[in-house]
Amino acid sequence: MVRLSDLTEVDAAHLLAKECIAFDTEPFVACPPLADSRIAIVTTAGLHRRGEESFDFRDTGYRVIPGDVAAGDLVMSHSSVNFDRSGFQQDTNAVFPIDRMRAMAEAGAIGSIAAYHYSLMGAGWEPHEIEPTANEITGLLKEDRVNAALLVPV
Amino acid sequence: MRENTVALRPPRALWVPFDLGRPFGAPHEPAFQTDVLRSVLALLERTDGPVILDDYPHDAPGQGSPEAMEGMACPVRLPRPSGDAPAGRMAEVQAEIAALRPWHDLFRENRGGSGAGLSGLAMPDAAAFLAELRGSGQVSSVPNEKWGDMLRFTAQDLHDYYVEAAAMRPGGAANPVELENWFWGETSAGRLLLDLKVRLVDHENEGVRQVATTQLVPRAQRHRLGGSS
Repeated sequence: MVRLSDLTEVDAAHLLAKECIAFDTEPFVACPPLADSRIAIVTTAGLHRRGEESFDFRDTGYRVIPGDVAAGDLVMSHSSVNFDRSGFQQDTNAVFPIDRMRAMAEAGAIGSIAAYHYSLMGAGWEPHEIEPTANEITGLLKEDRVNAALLVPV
Repeated sequence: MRENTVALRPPRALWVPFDLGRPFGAPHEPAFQTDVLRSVLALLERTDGPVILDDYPHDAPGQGSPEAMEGMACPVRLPRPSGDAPAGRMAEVQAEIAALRPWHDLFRENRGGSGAGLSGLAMPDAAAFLAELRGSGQVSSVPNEKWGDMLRFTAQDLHDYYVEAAAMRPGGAANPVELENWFWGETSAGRLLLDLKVRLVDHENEGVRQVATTQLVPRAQRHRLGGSS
């Protein structure tokens, strides 16, 4: 997310033209206290482990990121060239805050971290095309007893 | 962007004013990253839905500050790219790759690896692939159906190699805008990718054409293409 005024005119126009679905429901639920939460990160930054299959142009799949992954083992193959990658290149936590989350868990500020996190490539497809993938990830999160997901776009 | 989030009405969202691609603000700023993370997770304990959209109140460290915009983006003063003629471009790119190598090696040591390398090629070979595709329009050593992917990955590898090397600038990396303007405006590698976009946008191979159309040159840098974007 970014200020509209910080973008070039062409970038701002492109992003404002994105389809924003009007949902029929408002799925708001109360969550457990953070100290009892088991949290997973779901990112659309196109991250995966080094050596794993890269995301292609219209990839609607996902990659699994083990909870004990070393931050430096992640690479980014997102197909868009229209956002900054240099922050991630220098420090994974600028995009995928796994070390910061581990510190919070060790301090007891959150209950636990999921055994697996999930990464998608957030470009090239329409919102409805990603729904089956989202449903599949939701099932996997439930099996992992995750009760809170941190969705991180780039 | 905040405008899109308002339209989507998610149950809980934290809008952050950071550069696109940096949702936790800035690299190597653990205290700041933690504050952003605490702020977004705190929304989970709120019950005043059905839609909660909070604004994070702080800019990222160094974001848009005059200090961040000063000085060279890169630790190495590279030769200026030669004009618009592509002759000799490849030699210039290979010389840049060699000049940046000590800084990229330092980056790898510090980071524990490199994000560049999606193509699986060493950097001189990645640049050679791009030069061959630019020159003859084909690469005999790679199957046709892989040309588009390889174009994307080698171009990204080249860009990321330069940016990673530049991140080792004494005093810390320049900000994203300065880094991008340096790569696209002041390096022969940036010029090579601009050349490629113009040359390959009508390529007979659909994958190559697709990558050249949308995935080679950022929208914010296409003004460098003149009237051919």
